[in-house]
Amino acid sequence: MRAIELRRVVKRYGRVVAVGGVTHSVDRGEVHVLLGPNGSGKTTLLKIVCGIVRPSEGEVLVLGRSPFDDPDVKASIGYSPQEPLLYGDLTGFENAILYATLNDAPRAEAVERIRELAKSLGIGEWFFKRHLKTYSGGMMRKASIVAALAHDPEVVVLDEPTSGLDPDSRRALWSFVAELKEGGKAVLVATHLFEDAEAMSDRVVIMSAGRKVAEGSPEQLKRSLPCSYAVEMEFVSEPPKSVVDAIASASVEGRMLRYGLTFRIYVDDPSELSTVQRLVEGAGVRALRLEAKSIGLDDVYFMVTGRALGGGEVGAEA
Amino acid sequence: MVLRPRVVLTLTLYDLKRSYRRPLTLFWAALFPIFMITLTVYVFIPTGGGAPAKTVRVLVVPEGEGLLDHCRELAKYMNNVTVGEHRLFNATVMSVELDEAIGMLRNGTYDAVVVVPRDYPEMLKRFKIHVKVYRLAGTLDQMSEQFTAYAVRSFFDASGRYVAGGCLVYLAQKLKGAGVAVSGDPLVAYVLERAEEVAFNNTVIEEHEVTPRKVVSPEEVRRYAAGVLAMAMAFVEYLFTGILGAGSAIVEKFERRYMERLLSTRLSPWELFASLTLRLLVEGALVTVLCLAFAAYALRAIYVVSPLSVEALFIAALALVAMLLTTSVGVMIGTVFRSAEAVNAVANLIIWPTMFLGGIWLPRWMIPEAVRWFADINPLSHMLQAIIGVMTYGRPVTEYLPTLAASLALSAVLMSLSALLYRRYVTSFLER
Repeated sequence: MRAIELRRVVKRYGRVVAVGGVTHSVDRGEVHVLLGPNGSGKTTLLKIVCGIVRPSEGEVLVLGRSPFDDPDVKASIGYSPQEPLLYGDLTGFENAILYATLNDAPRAEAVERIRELAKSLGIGEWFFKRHLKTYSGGMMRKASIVAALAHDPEVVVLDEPTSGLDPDSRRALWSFVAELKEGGKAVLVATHLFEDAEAMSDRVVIMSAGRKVAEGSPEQLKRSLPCSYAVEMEFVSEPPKSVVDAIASASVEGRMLRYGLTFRIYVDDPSELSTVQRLVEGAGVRALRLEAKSIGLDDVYFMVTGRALGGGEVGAEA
Repeated sequence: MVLRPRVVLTLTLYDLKRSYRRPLTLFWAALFPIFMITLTVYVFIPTGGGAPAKTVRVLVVPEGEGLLDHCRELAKYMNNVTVGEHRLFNATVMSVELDEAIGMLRNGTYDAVVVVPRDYPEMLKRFKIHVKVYRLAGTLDQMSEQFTAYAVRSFFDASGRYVAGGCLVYLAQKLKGAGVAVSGDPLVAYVLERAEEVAFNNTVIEEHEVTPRKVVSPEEVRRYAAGVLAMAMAFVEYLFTGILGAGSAIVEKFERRYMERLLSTRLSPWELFASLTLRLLVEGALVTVLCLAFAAYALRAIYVVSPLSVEALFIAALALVAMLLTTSVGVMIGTVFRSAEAVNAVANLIIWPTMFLGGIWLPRWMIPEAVRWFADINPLSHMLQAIIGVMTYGRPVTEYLPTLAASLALSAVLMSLSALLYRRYVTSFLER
């Protein structure tokens, strides 16, 4: 029996298709990450798994049971939404106890678990003493995760769990998710951050416009591309169009991304870097930086969807 | 400290803009004052035409056989008295025993009972009026009591003068017919003596005050009033916590998306509904205890029931039913109107008129007669009156059992309806 099983799940809001026929499953001891930009259907899919939004078509099973037909199974799910959605006039601890109680956890066990979680996530005394409305974004995020896990669920669903966290806390959260995995939990995470996806997941599901466009471990996804390296060039000033076109034509499938004056193209062999260098120098354009690096998930996302995440613009005309 | 006027003005302008873009601000700043002014002008301010402050309801009863025609004649004269175009009295004749008439006076059916005594015909022949008047005294409505006393007394004084005038005309005609010289004649002296007697001493009104409750003492009126107001205040709180509180709690969960997280747990719609209802009942119970205790200890309010009696149980049951009633109305509003602004506006439009015209904060007798029908049809008003009747006036619980039964039935219907609406609301949230 799969921990999470989605079968041809569709969710429509009027004419808008938020989720367009997704089939996916997660087993115990696995961490799957849904990766995609805002509006790609990640959050809707998580809400469907948690029994908050009923799908228009298809079936969702958690531990073999539908959260809509058999709401008791929801007690086995721990859900931390994109925004904490906890009561501001209660402390983080009170919120966590409340949610543990709503999911039938005995109080004593919940208190013990909350203390363990607080320790793992590096949560201080503020969690037990201060009202949630006084927390910073990062503190709220941690409180939300504790509230989601206080009843020790078998299935953990985290929506953008690292948003608002500082780099140290993000790394702590990655370790924490690894602990959950080792503890046999099935973890489903939604994020638009490639670093998070790479650090946490066994399996990444790339989503675009409500559909699953690629799936695999980060390494599998990278290997599936027709290129192995990304070449980045940063110019002092806007290069002539002929140079931009030439750079693009040097890229695999002519794919190019640009972030301001930084251009990124894709090559299969690092030796091709010298070709690009000659091309730029031949045009008399001064490049500040020219480097080749390994393909990352952001590149996978771009190559698979043809869209850029993180403010990048696609193509030479951008 | 430097104040930059442009900055302050711009900030103010934008704050005003933000404020007036909110529908709730428009409600409180525009609709509500207009509504209150209109309501007060049309409901509480006299409409002109010299209408009396109230119509005095009088029951005229004979003291014995053969007096019914006199009663009818008296009632006819009373009903002829007008202020402007409005009747001052609404007199009714009934051939009932005095005790029964007094009972009707006590339960508020009449403001006064006029008893036509056995010697009434004989006195009338002698150009005199003798009546017995029973009227309520010691109620919280002292103005009404005084108005009734004054109106009835004035009527009989005026009737006495009318009879005296008739007497003088009769005697003058008699003298004229006899061709008697005015001065020094013994007959003239007799006539003058009779005229003086009739003119200044021909009306005998025996007034009796009837108390509506066990304890009678003008000094205690304030203490009884404190008890009544404490319960009325608790009912006002039921309106706010029940209607506004329930409605706001529902939309808050929707607008702030708490519902989303709550429904990710195994919580069912019924559990959500039950917890909301229970929360409001606890709030209502606490405020009731606070109001009654404050009135008892700080204002020395008098309650005639013991906290551990059947009467106290009855009061608690009725208060509970009242809370359930307001809560169910609030739930219905919260499930139909899905924004805080809309719920606030609709709830206030229900609460304020109910509070002032529905016999809750202003007692029935303070409400203009033209809109008393609203208090009459308001179930909360009946529940409050039943509680006050038992708690303050010591009336038997049995008298109000029909009120309790009807209230229970109404609350059960509204609670069921609101629970179904709430369930549909939560289900539609999942289906959205």
